[in-house]
Amino acid sequence: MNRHSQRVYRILIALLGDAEEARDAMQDTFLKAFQHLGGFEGRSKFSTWLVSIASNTAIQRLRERRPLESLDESEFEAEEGFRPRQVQAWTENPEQLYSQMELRGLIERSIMRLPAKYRIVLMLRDFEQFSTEESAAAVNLGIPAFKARLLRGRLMLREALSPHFVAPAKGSAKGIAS
Amino acid sequence: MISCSDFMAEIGNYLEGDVAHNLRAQLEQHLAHCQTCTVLVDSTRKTLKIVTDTGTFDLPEAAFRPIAERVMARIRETGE
Repeated sequence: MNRHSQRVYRILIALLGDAEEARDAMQDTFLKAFQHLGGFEGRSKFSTWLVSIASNTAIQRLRERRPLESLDESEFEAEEGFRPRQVQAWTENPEQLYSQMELRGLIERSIMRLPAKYRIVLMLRDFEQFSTEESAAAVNLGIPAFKARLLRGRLMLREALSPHFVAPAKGSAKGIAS
Repeated sequence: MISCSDFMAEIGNYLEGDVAHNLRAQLEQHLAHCQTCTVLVDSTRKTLKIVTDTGTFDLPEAAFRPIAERVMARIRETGE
């Protein structure tokens, strides 16, 4: 349990958006995992199987409490057409601008401001380093839809972090030309 | 010469290193002349590096221990 606890926690907090609720859901997740351990046939990695249980646990809670927030693939069309607005160059080593604790807080706050459907894909692919195929399967998306959502999430996170990491003032670049 | 919109359509695959050789050459030719797209690529790459290098959303062991204890207690109760 301990070995997988961090991963499960990150998946749950990404989906639920609340640390306390995520810790609560961890109990449900591990209980379900123990109850269904006999059904794990080894067709996927154990961590992938556990992530699926965590995702389903969180999605179940979301459906019960927050019916308006959807993670459905039908929202794939909404991923297109995102235009970044923050187009100033970043400083060479942005991590060196802040202490580790400040940086951690900045990233966590920025992630938590994103809609859940972007938080989860970022968490799976960029934080937990699952492959594209594993990540897409965990959220029941086809590869193209997953990639579109991941790109949108990455660009939104970049947009949120950008004001904190821009290089000292020069002329800023113009917006995206079509 | 590809446009910024064309570049944005491929930026995800470019960041993943998942573009064919010829397309990569075209994308990099665009970058050589487009400051805005260069900034986007650079800052998105830095975003990903910061995310992977910084330990975020860590659950302290002290917070996990009571969860694990409750799980084990439930399992013992149900005789799993």
